[in-house]
Amino acid sequence: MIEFGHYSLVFAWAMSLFAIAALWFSRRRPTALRKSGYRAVVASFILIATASLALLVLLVRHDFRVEYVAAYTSRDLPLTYVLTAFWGGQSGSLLLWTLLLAVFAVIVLVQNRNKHEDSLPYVAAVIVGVQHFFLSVILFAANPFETLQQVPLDGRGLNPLLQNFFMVIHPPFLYLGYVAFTVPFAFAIASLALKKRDAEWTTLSRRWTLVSWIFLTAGILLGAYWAYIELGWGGYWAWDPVENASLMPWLAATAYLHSVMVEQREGIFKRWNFALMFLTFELCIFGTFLTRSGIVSSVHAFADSNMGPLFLTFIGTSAALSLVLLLSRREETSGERAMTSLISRESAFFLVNLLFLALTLAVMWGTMYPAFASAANGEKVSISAPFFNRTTWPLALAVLLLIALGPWLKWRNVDLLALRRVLIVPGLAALATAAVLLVAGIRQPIALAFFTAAAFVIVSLLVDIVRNSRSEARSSDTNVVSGFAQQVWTRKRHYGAVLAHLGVAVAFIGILGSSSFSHEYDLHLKKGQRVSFAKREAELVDFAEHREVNKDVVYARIRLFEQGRVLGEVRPEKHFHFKFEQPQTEIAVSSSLARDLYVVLLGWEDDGSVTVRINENPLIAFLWLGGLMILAGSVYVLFRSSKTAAVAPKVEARAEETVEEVKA
Amino acid sequence: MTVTYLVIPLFFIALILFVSWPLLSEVEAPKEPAPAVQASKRKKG
Repeated sequence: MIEFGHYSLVFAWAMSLFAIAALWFSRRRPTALRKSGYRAVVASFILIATASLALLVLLVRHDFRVEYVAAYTSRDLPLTYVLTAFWGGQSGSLLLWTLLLAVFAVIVLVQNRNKHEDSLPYVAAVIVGVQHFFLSVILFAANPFETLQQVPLDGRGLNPLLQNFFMVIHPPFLYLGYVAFTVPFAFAIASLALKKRDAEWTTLSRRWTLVSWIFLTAGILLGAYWAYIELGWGGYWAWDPVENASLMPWLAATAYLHSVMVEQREGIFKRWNFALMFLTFELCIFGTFLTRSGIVSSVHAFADSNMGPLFLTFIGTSAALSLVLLLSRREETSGERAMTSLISRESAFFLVNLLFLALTLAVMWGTMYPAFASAANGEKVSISAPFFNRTTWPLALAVLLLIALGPWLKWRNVDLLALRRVLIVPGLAALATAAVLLVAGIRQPIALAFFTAAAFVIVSLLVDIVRNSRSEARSSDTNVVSGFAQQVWTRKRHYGAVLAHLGVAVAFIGILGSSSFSHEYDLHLKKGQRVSFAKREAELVDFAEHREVNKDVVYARIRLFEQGRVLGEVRPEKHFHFKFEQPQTEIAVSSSLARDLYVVLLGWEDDGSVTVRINENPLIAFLWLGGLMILAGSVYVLFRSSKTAAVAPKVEARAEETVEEVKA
Repeated sequence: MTVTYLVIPLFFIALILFVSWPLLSEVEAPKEPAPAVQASKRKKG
C-alpha cells in the first residue's frame, strides 16, 4: 500500500506534466493531443485520489512503518481523528490541497465540455500547472509515504488541541477556499493569453469566485470558533501569522468581489480586477506557504521544513509571469470609459477596494515584519494585537460607513440632495444610538464609533428594504409583506448582499462588544459555597475525575446564578493525555445573546476546592450570528437561477426607478 | 500479495492507455485523404 500510494503520486506528477505539455501544444486547434491532455487531467485526478485513499488505509490500519501515520495517530485515537489526521500534518494537508485542486480541475472540464474551446486548454493547463507544483512539493519535500527505519509499537497520536469537531472541519473548508481560487485565476490567465477584451472570464468564474469566498469565510469563522472554545484564553482571534495568512486572501478576494461588479456593469476596472485576482491567488499560495515555512512563529504553524524555497520560487515566478502577461495586454484591458464622477456608486466601489487593499497591506506588514527584522539584523520582534487593532480599526470603520451609503449611491452620478434626504433616518438612528450609549456610561471611543456606525448600516439597509418593498407592493398591487417577499425572490443578488452586509454590521457589534467590555474574574470555589462575581454567583457542585481510553479527565461542575435564579450548570475540564505531557484545558460556556460566561478550570486543592477563571464576553454571540448571516447571504446570491439572472437587471432598473419616484 | 503486485501495474497501464488512446486512435486513422479531397486534387491535376 505504501508503494502504491507513493507511485500513484509519481505517476500523477508525470501525468500532470504531460497534461501541461499536451494542452500547451494543442492550444491553437482541437487535436487528438488536446483530447489526450484532458484525459491526462482526469487520470492525474484518479491517481491523486488513489494516493489519498492509500494514505487513509494506512492511517486506519495503524501502519506505523509510515512516518506520517506514526507522527499523527496512535492506537487509542478515535477513528474520526484517525481519518482527520489525513490533514492533521504537513504532508497530508498538502495532499488534501492537491486532491481538492484535482477534483476542481475535473469539475471545470466537465462544466465546460464542448464549450469555450478556445480558453479551456489554457484554464486546464494553469490549474494542472499549480497541481504539478504541489505534487513536486509533496514528492521532493513532504512525502506522506516516507517510511521509518525503526517501526514504533505505537504512534505519537494527534495533538489534543486538534481533537475537536471544529478542527475536523475547519481545515477542509479553508483549503476549499484557498484551492478554489485557482479556478478564477486560471480563467483570468486564459482571458489575457487569448487577448480577450470582454469580461467573459469574470462571468465564467463568478460562481467559482463566490464559492471560494464562501468556503474561505466559513473556514476563517470555524477557525475562530475553534480557537474560542479550544484554546482557553477567552478570545477567538490573536492576529497569529497563520490566522493572518487566511485573512489576507480573504480581504483581497472581498475587494475583487466588489470591483468585479463594476466591470460587469460599467466596463471599467478591468486591469484592476485582473490584478486583484492575481493578488488573491498569490496570497492563497502565500498563506499555504506561511503555515509551512517556519519563517514565522505561530501557535499552529507546522514544523520547520525545507519547502520554503520551493514555494517562494513558485510565488515569485507565477506572480512575475501573470504581471508580465497583464502588462503586455495593456490595450485589451483598458476600460471602456473613464470614471465620470467622484461621488457615484463606482467611485464608492473603488474606495471600498482601496480600503480592502490597505487592510491587506496592513495585515501583511504586521505579519511579515518580524521575519524581515530577523532576516535584516537578527532582531527578534513580535507584533501583537495593538498594532493590528490600531491600523485596522479606522479602515474597518470606513468600510462600514460605505456599506451604509451603498444602497443609495447610483451609477455614474449621485443626486446629493436626494442622498441627504434618504440618509436622514439612518443618520438620526445613529445619533440616537450614540446618545443612548453615552447615557449608559459607555466612553470607549472605538466602541462608540463602531456601535454608532453599525446602527447607521443596519437602519440604512432596513430603510432600503422597506422602500423597495413598498414600491414593489404599489407596482404589483399587493401588500408590503408580499412586496418584500417578491423582491427577495426576484432580486436574489441584491438581497443576498443586503443580508451579508447586515451580517457585517452585526458581526462588528459582537467584535467590539466582546473586545471592549470583557471582564475576567478568578474565583476560588468550595463545594456548596456560593461566591459572588459581577452581580452573579458561582457554586461548586462537584469536583471529580475519571479515566477515558486515552486520557484522565478532571472536571468541576459549577452552577451559575444571576439575580438569585439559576443560569445553568457548566463543566470545565482538564485533560491529561497519556501521550502528551502538557495538560489540556477544556473550557465550558454558558451562552446567551447578551453575553457568554466562559469558564476555565485553572487548578484545585487537596480539599476538593477549585480555582476557576470566568471571562464575561458581552455580545460575542453577535459575531457568530453575523458570520452566519454573511454566509447565508452569500449562498443566497449564489443560488440565482438563470431565469432571474436574465430579468434581474430589468427588475433592478425598475426598482431603482420606483425608489427615485418615492424620493421625489 | 501476488494479486496486488499484478493489479497495481495493470491499474497504471490502464490509465496510460486511457490517456494515450486519442493519440493512438489518430495514428490508426486512414492516412489517405478523403475521396472528395482526392477528387478535387485530381481536377486540379
